[in-house]
Amino acid sequence: MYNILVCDDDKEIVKAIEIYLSKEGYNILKAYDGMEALEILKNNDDIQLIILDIMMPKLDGIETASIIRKEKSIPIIMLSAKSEDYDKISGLNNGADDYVTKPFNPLELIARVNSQIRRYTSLGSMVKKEKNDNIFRSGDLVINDSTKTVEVDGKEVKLTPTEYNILKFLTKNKGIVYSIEQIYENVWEEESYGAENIIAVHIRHIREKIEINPREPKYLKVIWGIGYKIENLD
Amino acid sequence: MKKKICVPRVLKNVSYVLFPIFITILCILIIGLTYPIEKNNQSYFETNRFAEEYAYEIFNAVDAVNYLKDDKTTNIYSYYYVDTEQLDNNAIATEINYYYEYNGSNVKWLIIDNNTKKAYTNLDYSIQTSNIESIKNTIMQNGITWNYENEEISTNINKLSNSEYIKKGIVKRIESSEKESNEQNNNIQNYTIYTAVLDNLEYADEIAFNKILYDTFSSVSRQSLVLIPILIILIIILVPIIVVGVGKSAKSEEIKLNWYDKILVEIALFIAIFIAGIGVCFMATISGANTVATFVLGMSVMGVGILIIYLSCILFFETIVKRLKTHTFLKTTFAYWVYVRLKKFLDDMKITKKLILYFILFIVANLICFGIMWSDGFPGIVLSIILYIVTYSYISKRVKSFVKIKSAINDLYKGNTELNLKEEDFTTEMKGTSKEINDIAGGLSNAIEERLKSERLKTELITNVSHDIKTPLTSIINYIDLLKKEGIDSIKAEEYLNILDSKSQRLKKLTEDLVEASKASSGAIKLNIEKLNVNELIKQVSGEFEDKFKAHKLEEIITLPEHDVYINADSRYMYRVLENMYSNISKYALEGTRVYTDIIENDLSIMIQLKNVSKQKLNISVDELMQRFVRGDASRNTEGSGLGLSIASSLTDLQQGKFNIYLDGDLFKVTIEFEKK
Repeated sequence: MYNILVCDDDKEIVKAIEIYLSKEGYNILKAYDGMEALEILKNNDDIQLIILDIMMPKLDGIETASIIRKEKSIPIIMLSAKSEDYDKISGLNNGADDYVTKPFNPLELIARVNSQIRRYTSLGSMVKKEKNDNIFRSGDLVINDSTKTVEVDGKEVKLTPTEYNILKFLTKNKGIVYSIEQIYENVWEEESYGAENIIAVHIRHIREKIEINPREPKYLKVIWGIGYKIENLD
Repeated sequence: MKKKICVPRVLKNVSYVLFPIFITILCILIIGLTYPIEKNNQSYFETNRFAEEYAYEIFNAVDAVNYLKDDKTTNIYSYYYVDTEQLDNNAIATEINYYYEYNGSNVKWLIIDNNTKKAYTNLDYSIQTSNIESIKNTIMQNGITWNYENEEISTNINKLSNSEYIKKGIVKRIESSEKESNEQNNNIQNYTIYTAVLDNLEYADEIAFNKILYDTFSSVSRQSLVLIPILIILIIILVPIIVVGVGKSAKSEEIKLNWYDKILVEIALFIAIFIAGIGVCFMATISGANTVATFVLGMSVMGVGILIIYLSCILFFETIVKRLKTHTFLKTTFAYWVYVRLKKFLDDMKITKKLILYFILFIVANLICFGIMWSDGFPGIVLSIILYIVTYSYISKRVKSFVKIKSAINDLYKGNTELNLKEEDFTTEMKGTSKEINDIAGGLSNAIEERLKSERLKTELITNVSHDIKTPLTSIINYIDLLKKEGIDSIKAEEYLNILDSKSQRLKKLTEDLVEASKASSGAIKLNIEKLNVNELIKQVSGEFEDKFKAHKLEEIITLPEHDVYINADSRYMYRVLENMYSNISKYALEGTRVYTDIIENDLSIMIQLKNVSKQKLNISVDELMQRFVRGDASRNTEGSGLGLSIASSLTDLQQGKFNIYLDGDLFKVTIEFEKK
């Protein structure tokens, strides 16, 4: 049983999050401002995740996160109505591991919580990055070419053979942007013939399968008008 | 109360007194040093200068006698007297002509004409005696005497050591005068002359005057040469002392200008000259003095005259110094007065009239130059060249001003409001205009700033409001979701829940779009412009929407150029534009129709063209459609905020593209055009 600290000045939101996460089998600790959250953290060492609102009385989420970060490496998910790029960057720079905007999709929040918990708790076992030519990875995206399996945050994802080949090619060359034509030529190993958007469709399908929010992908990034790439997260 | 003493002022006044004294001494020294002295410690009467003067007097006397002898009635000198009384004497003279000089002379004489036996004298009538011997005695007793008889000269004492010189001088003069008159009988040899110089020199005549000069200057010793530089230095020191002291007073620090210091310099000069004129008049009243008393009177009148002239000089000098000190000298000259009025007249003149005036002036000047060239050649050519250079520089200055104004207006037109035109860079005609343009630029820049500020405030307000809406909305959405999961027995309740769900989702979308639309239209977006491949972009976007199109039974027909085409734009915002368009198509296109996507390559631009058939009747104009919150169906029932087109259009504008909508019946066409790269 993992313990999650939820901190938001809106009690109903805390309550709703508690309901969702309890169903997933998490134990919830509640706080209604930054000071309270710090107090709970001081008295309780067994907390695996913190969900923090930004706009709170007494001590705001950004400050709270940076205080927590000074001592602990517990994952923090920021949950805020502020959706500007600036706010997200500021949150992530101050120690947050993820950023979810309000109003949030409960399923997305759960997925992100699961992902962070998996990463945090299985970090020890994940570290055994054995030197294997058949394994390609970027962050928590792992492709095992021997078993033809793909894992995201330790959870297996089912892909079609074409999708698998595209993802494998991009992960093998992570960080590099490839245009549709280049991907086609490399994966199909034959000349592309112009008006081909089949790759774009495949990419979208892959995104829907491996990303928590396909509109804001973490691994498979779209650079519109240029191409696609797997973000290098190592 | 102790009276304040202004030291510079006192020094100045002292200097004014010392100045003429020093100058006088200096003059005496200089003249004295250059004054020819024949022998040291020589008396005036021993000098050739005296002999010369004496001879001159005698000559005048002889001359007078000559005239008197010829014509008894002719007035050669203004005053003379002829006594026709016969002298009872066996002596030479039968007649004494009394010759009287008005001014009186220190030289007394008795001339006897040996031919006519007539005697002439300038002795005072009152001391005249009836016989010639007594006259002779009076003269001989009366001082330094001299006797010329039968070409023999006898003098009484050694005072007249130069008697020979005097005689020669007289003879020479008379001979030269005889040559002129060709009168042989007037020979000096026929005269016996008795003459004497009065010892006490009681008359102020040339001899007396020259004796004073001689006594003064000959007393200047050679050793006093050293005094000259000292005096010069003193005088030079006095000048700055005076200059410093001018205008200073114990009452105030500032230099006070009186009416005389404020009038035109030329008028002040005229007044000073007028006052000096009074002094000159004083001096002019002095006529010759024949006694010591009249001489003293004359000298005092002359002193007053000189004083008046000196004071007038001081008056004018002080006003000049005061004007220079207060920097008003130039401004109070007549030339400046004329310059200011002429300049004002020209500045106020209409530019067209001025042009005519200058043109006429140019032609006249040109004609004069040609005239000079025709008559004199070279100077005319030089003058012509100068005239052309002046004319060219005049015109070029104005043209430069004009060009500057032109470029400033052009800058303004392009939106650069940071003009900062400097008035002094322009010619008089354009100064006003340059200021006006500056003001326009300032006003414009203020207006733009105001607008940007208000847009920013609006965006900020919308962003803040959206935050405040989002928090309660989060609870609404979450609890609706929880309620749905809780499960409700009533079918109707479930239906109502679905409505709540979709409306709350729409509210969410609306809040997000609202922020984006306001940002896009206010330009509060940071663009990251890069070179994009339009073919790739369209493939990517159509790939994203393939499933949605399929769900609405829409078939997309894409026509791309054979080679890749590029534009400069922001990758993310380009996607936002196309995403909005594609999502509109998936929502509003008639099911079962085709959607045409074309990339058209023009010479200079790349155009993305999207065509589809609308589900609803488009009873709306393009302009209305582009407005915020307007959708093809006026009912606002379907999902979406109605901001999609507005956002797409604003974002395209921000990226320097052109966004256009065309409606033709049910055909809905959008073109997005960018510069080709």
